[in-house]
Amino acid sequence: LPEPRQCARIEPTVTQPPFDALEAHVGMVYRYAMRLAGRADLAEDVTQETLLRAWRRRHNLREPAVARVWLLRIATNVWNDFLRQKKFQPKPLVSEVECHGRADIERTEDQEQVALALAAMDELPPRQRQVLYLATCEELSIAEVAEVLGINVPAVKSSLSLARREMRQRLQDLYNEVCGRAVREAGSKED
Amino acid sequence: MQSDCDHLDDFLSGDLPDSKAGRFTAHLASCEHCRAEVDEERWIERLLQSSERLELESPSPALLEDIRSTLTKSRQHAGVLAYGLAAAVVLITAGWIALSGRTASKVQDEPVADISSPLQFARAVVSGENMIVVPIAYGDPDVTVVRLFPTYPPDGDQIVEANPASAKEFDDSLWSQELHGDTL
Repeated sequence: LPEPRQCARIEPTVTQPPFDALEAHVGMVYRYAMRLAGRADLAEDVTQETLLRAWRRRHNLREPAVARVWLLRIATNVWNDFLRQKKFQPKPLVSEVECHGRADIERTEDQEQVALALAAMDELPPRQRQVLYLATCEELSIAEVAEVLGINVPAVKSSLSLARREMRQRLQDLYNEVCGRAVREAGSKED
Repeated sequence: MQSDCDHLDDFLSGDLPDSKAGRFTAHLASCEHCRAEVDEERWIERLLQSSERLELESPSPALLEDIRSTLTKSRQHAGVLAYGLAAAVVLITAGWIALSGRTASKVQDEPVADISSPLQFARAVVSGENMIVVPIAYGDPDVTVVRLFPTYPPDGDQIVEANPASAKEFDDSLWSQELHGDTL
């Protein structure tokens, strides 16, 4: 049997994703767009434009296995276009509802910690935020992050180190609190 | 001189070569600072990779509907363009025939498509005046190509009675009988 890569080259139409396949990535694109835009309404615009642009250019995707990286790359380009064209109003001073889903429901303690971690990430400079999100949340390799952002590997590594260091610093109090409580709870159980 | 603590970032990135990674792991046992940094880093990673993050930032159902709706419109727009292209083909063909002064008799051996609906379409385009409309056999059932034959010379005022029935009076059955036969 030929390798999948060969199949894709011989008959590219077979590997073109139907819209349903792209639709499965809407959530991923939206969450990345949230990191780029920091606002739900803008993130929705970026997501919509990304999916439509991907649909129009679906012939360029020869291997569905790399659809995730391909879509994230398109989302990055869409956001860069938005920035260039200033297709949005400046961020309001009074924060609006930041995301859909569980925003109106009381958060669990775990969700609260995750929300604080995301908030800390959103305070990072844009490049560090993007690199950290792609490497940690999307678990992309350094090379894939470089491809998505259109930068070189050393630049990714450098931004990632800075971002991780900054995150540890920003979340240190929360970590000490959570970690200290866990240690105390473990100690009381032993007693 | 570089201390073992300086390898913390490379260790966390997985960039430390095996030889140095072993040494750094040994260093962690004795360095409380580096150990705390590594533990906190792993804790942050767990937070950011947890399922709670997906729950917190799920897109609204309306977004998916919007995307589907826009895509449907985009497809319809593409359809309109395709029809527009077909109409352009018809008009260009008509213009070419009119300018070249070709007569129907020169092309009577051209394969004629076995379809009737293009006649209605072509009538709408040319208003049915002094024209003979011949659909041309074409491989794609979704594409219609017709050739329009003016029944007057390019420079003339005089009507050439190439066929006793004018295009205005054609109906589909007459069309079928006369154009598929030898009347032209």
